[in-house]
Amino acid sequence: METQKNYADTSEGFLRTLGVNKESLVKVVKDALSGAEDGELYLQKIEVSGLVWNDGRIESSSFYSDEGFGLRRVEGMRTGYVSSDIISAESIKKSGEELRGVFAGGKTYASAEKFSPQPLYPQEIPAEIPIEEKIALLGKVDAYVRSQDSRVTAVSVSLSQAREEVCIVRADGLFLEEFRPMVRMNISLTLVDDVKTGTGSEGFGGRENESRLFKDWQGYADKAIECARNLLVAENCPAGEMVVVFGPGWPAVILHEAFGHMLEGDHIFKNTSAFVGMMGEQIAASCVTIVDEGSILGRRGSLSFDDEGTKTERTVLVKDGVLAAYLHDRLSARVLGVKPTGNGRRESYAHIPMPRMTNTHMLGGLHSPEDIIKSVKKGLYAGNMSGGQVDITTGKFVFEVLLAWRIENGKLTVPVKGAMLTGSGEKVFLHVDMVGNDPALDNGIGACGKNGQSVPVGVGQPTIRIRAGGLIVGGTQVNVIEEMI
Amino acid sequence: MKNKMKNRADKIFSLVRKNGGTAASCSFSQEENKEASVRDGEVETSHKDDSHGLTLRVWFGKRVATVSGNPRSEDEYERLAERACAMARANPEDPFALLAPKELWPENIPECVSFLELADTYSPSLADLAEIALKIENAGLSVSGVSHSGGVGAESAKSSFALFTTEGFEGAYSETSYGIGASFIAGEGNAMSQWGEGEGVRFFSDFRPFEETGKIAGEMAVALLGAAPIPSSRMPVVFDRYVSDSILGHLKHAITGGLIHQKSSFLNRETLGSRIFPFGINIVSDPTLPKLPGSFPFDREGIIGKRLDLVKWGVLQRFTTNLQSGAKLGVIPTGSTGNLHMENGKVSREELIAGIDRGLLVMGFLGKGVNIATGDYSRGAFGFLIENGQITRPVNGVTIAGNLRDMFMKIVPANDMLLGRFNAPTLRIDGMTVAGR
Repeated sequence: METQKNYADTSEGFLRTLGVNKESLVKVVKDALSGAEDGELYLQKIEVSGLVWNDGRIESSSFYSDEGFGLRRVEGMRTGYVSSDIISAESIKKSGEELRGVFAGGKTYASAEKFSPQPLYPQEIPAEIPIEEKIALLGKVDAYVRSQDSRVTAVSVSLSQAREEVCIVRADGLFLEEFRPMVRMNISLTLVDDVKTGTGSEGFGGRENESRLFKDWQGYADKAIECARNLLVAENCPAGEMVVVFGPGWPAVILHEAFGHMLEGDHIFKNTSAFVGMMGEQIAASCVTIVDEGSILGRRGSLSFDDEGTKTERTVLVKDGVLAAYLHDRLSARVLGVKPTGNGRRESYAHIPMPRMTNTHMLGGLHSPEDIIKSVKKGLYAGNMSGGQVDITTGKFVFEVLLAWRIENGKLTVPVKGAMLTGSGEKVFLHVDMVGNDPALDNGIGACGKNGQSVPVGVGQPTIRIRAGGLIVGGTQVNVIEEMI
Repeated sequence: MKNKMKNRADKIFSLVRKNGGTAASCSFSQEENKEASVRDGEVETSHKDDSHGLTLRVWFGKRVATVSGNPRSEDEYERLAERACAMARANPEDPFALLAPKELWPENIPECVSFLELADTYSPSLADLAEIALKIENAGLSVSGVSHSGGVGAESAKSSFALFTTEGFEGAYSETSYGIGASFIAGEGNAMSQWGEGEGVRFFSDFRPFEETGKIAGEMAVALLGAAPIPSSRMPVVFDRYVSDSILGHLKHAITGGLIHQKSSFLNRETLGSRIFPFGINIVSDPTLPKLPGSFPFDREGIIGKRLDLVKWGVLQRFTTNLQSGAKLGVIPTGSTGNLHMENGKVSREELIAGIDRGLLVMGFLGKGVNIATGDYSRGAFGFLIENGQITRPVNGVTIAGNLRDMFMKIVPANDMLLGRFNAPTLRIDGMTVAGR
């Protein structure tokens, strides 16, 4: 990264908004949280501008801004939270009083580790790119996609840019603030051929400046077109138990949803995860190593420090198949008597933080992706996932494969659509028997929902093979073997 | 609130005109939320949140842009308005961006608002909400077989909304909502099951007794214990009331004017006026019902809330349109829908199930595998196995699949729809693919 001006040089900052200096803000927080065991003031300003291109023209041009604070007071297992979109020293003080009123107090405040954050993304708030240039870009993407295939009937392109400023103030004097950029482009299209319809969609982005979108779109547009072409001719998916090979990158959404969530500290201390008490035990095949890494440069799930002011890090969750760590915010770390891992995150100032993943990925292994596919006589290759859902208590999950291929005698033969993968999160990674040497992170499109809060995340993995018995493929193909009743 | 907002809107409108704008619409919202959650008899979180917001849409001829934010001062209101003007000027023309004409407004808004009874007067404290949650949790935990609480929460919200346009629209209303959510877990270790129960009302007194809610949720978690996949087969699937309104959701999505215009729905202009459900099926949107959660006097564009027959005697009556999609399709917009429901059928739920030799009763879904463009339907599901007309054992880890076009035509509704709580009756759909072991 080029040398960057730092946030404080280019922003008015929150101290200006509040009309106070750092020392007196810390004092306000100290007073508000007196007698508390933990807690902090979280200040946030965010501006999001978005453009949506549809049907050959701009369909919507939008801008929203939001700002506010959340004051959190923790005593024991209990959290009190007051949030408001009026940032003022007065309203923070008042919130502190409200919280003191419902708590016993008299606790000792748990100090947090002090550090100087190393920014992982540009800290200079960038000048806005004129809207005319962005509209021209969207038109160019549309024209490009249409020029690639005469069967294209609809193209939709959207871009969004978020400029977020965050400040965290703790009663022990920890004061952190930074700029958190986020950009995203999405390209989707519909192909129609006689009666068949195929849709394709690709997105990319990260914690970067908007200029990135002007450079990188063409490769993603090509991928979206290829996906639509394949879906146009895709057959219905066969159903049953079979070997499944996952492609690199985004298909790791299963790793995040069906496995990662069960390693979040709150699910552990609330005893709602199948991995409670399994530390040191084999929970995945020995070829599997999984990390959560908030400290990668510029990725969608990256943060220099989490939303409680803990430095983010690389946490090895599973080492050679053995459970090595859980993910913690400050509360779950305290309850379980370990150090916080920098995974305390929140959607906004109006939300209470909880343990969340950042960039969660499986490390590369020994096999080339070609060898992995070659090894399968009959199975399914899941190259692009739509999304899925998991019941954290039972570990049961369902994922929809956007585009899959039949594997027959070591070759990808026909594209298939509508494959639904069902399995159990605690078991599926025990069935991994080949790990590719092509690890990749996704393109920067993930959003994770938990208890009604959405945060941006990254996922990644190499090509992996799940032997038969790990997953059930539920297809849309109707000729399943009729059961004799 | 209305007068203050009206003054502010007037100021914004004159600023827009001064910048060369030709029209504008402006809405204000204000909200106060309270939420408490408990677990294992202890208060876990208490959260109070206040927010306000402005959404401004500005026209320069046919160029239009939308901004929103939560300005704190006159200066910030002005800055936001100026940004909207700058954005609109830069945008290309949009012939389909319109302001609602007077013919679409309610005639007498204050009368509408008072008829609809949108707001309760009860304002619970955080402690009151915690107490409600504790009551529910207590009832759930006392069910034999429930091993622990997955957390219980209660919330209340008071909000107001005001809309002004340069065409002269002026309307405002306040409303309330209360909600609870409870989750219970049965079993231990590798054999656990979970059930989540939620309820949302506009009037506090419309809640079921809290003890009953807790008991039902706990019993359901226990009933689901030991769920396992079943062999793949084609069989009748019964959608319990907990999930049957999802079918209405798919219909609602599929008849959205914007999708019809884009040809991105499995329903299309040719389907309009033709049979898409069996004869007895009527599906209605009615936001004019007093006290119900989905009622409103006018929607976000100022279009009056009115009863719409979407499906009558099984025949698709109309697409739902806003100003933009109405203009694209060349029809008068219907405005937003509310309290969308399917009218009751003739048979009881028991009779519906009694006729099934082997089938699946679906209580919940995992995953959202529905493709509205093609109607392909494939969702992870859990519930109970039906054998010889009886519910025999819990099932999970299965996928149910079909195509919405065929599924719609095979629907048999029971007569247990309860407007405002369960907006569709229990539904039976034969011949679906159930993929399991």
